[in-house]
Amino acid sequence: MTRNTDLKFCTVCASNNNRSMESHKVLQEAGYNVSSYGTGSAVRLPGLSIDKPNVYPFGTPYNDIYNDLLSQSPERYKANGLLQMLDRNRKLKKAPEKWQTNTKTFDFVFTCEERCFDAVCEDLMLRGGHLNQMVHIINIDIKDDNENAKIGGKAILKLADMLSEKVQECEESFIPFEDIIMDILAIWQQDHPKLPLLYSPGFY
Amino acid sequence: MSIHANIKQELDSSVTSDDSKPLSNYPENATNTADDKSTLENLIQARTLALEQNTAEMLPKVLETTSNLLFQKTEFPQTPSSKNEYSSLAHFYIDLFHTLLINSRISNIEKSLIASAHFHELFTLITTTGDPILYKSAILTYSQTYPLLLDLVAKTSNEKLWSDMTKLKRFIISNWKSIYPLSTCENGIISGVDLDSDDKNMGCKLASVKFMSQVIISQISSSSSSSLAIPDNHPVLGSQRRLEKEAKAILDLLLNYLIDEPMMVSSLFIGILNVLAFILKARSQTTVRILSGILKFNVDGKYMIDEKNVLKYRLSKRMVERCYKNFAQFGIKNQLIKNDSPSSSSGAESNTSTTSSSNFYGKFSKISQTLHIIGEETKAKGILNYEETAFINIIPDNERSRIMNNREKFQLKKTIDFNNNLLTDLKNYSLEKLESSGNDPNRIFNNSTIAIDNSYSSIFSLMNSDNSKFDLSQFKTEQKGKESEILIQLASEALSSVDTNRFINALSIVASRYTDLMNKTPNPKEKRSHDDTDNNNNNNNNKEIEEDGYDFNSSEIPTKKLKMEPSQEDDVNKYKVEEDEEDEEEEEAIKTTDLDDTKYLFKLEPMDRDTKIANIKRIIQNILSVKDQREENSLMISANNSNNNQDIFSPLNKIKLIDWKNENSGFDILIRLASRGVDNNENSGLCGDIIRDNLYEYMLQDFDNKVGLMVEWLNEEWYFESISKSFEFATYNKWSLRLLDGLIPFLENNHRRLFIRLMSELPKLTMDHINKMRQICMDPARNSLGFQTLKFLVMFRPPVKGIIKEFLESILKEDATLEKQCNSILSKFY
Repeated sequence: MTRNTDLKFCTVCASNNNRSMESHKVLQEAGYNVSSYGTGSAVRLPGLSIDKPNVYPFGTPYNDIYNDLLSQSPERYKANGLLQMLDRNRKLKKAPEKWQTNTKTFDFVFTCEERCFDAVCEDLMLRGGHLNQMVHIINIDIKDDNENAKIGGKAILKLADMLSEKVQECEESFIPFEDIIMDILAIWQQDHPKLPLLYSPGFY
Repeated sequence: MSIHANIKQELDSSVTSDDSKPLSNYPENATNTADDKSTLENLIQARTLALEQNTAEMLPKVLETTSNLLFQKTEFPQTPSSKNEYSSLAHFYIDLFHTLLINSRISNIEKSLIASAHFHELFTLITTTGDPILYKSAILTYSQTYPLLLDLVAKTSNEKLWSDMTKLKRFIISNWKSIYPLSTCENGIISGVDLDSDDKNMGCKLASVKFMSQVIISQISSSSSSSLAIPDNHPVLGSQRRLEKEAKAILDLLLNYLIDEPMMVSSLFIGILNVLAFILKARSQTTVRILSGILKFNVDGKYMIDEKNVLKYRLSKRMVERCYKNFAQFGIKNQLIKNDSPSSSSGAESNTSTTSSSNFYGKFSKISQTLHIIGEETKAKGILNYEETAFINIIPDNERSRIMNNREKFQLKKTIDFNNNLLTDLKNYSLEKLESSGNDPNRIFNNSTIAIDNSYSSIFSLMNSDNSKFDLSQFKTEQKGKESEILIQLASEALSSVDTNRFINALSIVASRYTDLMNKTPNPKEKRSHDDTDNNNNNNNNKEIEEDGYDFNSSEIPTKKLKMEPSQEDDVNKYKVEEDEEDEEEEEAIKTTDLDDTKYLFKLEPMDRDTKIANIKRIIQNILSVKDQREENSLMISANNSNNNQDIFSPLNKIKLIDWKNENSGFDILIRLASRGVDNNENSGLCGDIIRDNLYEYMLQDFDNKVGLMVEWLNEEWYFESISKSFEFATYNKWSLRLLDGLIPFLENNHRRLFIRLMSELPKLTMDHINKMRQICMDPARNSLGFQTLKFLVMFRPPVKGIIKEFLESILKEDATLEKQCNSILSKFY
């Protein structure tokens, strides 16, 4: 299938490390124009004990985080997959980015958790809609672990493909895309019952 | 030189030389040297270049160039490929315009000037495009320009700009809930009525909602800072209060939609909640209005649009609830919905405001919590794990029809308002024309008795061609394809109020034009003989002429067909009438036409007697059939259309007499037609008597209820003969006596009132009329009817007193048993 590279996608999770970055990778490899962000107050990664997470400000390069974890316990972080994750991330972009401070605009924003969906929606409300541009925010609830991030990434790609195809069709036949998005989402949800979906048309 | 090079050179030179010359010379060159597709590609490159370097100067120039290319074409492209290219260019133009407006490297002052310079183009695109995607983008662009333009108007008092802005604003707002610009559904019904179309055209609806929020924010002054400096009582904008009043009315439209919309239109509900959040944040004085409205928004009360898709409904509901929760959270977190205690504020007004604010805080906190719990439960249970029947929420039939009725009424009102505005424009247009002609009607009317050609418009138009350019096809009807009915209605309304003499003059001009054209049309018989000769001379060519329509071997110019009105296009092949400007050309043309003279458009022979009789009988039957129509509103419907519901509402069927009644108004026409509307000589087939025969037959059937009609008819006959100085009253006498002859044998004593009324209201009574009563008076069973009538006439109709005396004396001689009855009158009144 031909993928619409003019569409601007964005993936969002809490720390812009696991779920959003896995989806970022999948969409980018499929040829889409994609960015990724986190909506949390900081980047939080599991630490050596449950009460001592690793916390970094957004903007800390993945490479620096990788090296920090490597210095703490290479075995431990290799065993739980964090080092592999960070290695993947540093090949995709420099550092985790915070949603609230980004100034880019997108056609579709995929959030990976309802909390992130709410944060994106509320942030757009707060921005005030000064740009008069439309954006479709879609949440796909993905559990925050390595395996589910991969499942979620594939599911997001599938949805991105469906949306991309329909956008193209709509443009060619002068049908407003917003008329059919609910149908696309319902079909997708039927095929992915374990990934509860939310949607909101929003404005920049 | 390539186009790209052209553009680049223009842009470079304009930038390097600091010459602000626009690229207005470019488009002509471009269209002459390159196709539109490559032009668009080059424009895209120019935009990229402009965004990379010196954006503030180059981007407006690319926009200017695009605008020139897009709007320099005077005609809308016709071929599919050119339409596509036009559409692509239009999309590019709007996207570029929007990009420019949100570009931070261009100052707001510059943006205002650019927005003003391109406003007309934006106006044209929004009001004329049929492409919903372009419409959506253009509205969002207008939304972006709105505060800039409003600020510009406030500073420059540009009245024309504000007037156009207002027009465009009203245009968008009037269509915001409809499926415009998709315009029609499959069944041809104009959009916005059918409940199933409520979730159609969502992109345009969302863009309109965003635009409305922008208008609200722009027109309501900020309570904290004066973002828009509009002095009160601005010469163009008016008072700030008026602007705010309009903004609040628009805000109410949004809030009422949440409350009143019966169907689950999730995307639009969410869109509205989002823009309400913008308004809430930007204009805190709207808080109470917005929050009160939202509290009345009942998500559970919305019905399914797609009745078969329960999952879609369930998802939609979940999404709206989530957005509602987010709205509440947004308000609470950002202190827009505050939890102030009443004691912390001072003054009565603050107390009221704070109290409601606290109420809102509690309510919205609770709503947010509840919706969060519902969402979590749904998620925990599984999004697809639900009982379908528990979620089906189909709108009841009576509710659907109630809403549909209301919408149809609203739609009708909208159409009427639109047409009324257009009528006002038409009136202004006419007045303007009259004024420009120095108030001399003769200069705007075309009184010529000769038509410039033989088209219907030339024959019937009474305006100069310069003064009849108003586009009447703009009139709307409830149903697509019925636009001509408005024109029929206009014509019928005009006919009902026109001055009779003026109308007769107008008809005379039209008649003269017809006569003139008919005189110019060659006599068919002459044509035939001419053609016979011609045929003999040109035998060799005939076959080819017959087969092909015109002679390919001939060196003469092929025949020109008569210019026909579109409605006659089907008949064009039958009516191959030639232009008659030059005899020679005409002769050649005749060779090529269908020679059956019955097919000529105009035939000069008068109708023969039998045809006339057949026609008059048909007319009578048609008029008589009207009495059987039972439709309300006194509609007059032709017999042929009575079974067709569509035609019942045709304006042609709505033409009526004042106080028209189906039961008897048709007889008014027949009576008038018989007495003075048709010739009544032998050559004309005694049309009048044919009508009278029908009236007579009709009145004698069930005569109990028709005495009024009888009196009306005979009065008409008498009156016409009296004004035409036909004092013999032959027709009146003939038909009144015939009526009495037909009626009297069937009268009984219980017909006393009927008969007395008839005899007393007949306009003229002669001895012949009274003599017709002899039969009744001599009949022992009915003579009381006769004598009561005579007594009444003697008492109340003195002019006939003499002949009644004569009559009484004569029957007394005839039958002595009537002495008592006769003498009771004779002795008392004579």
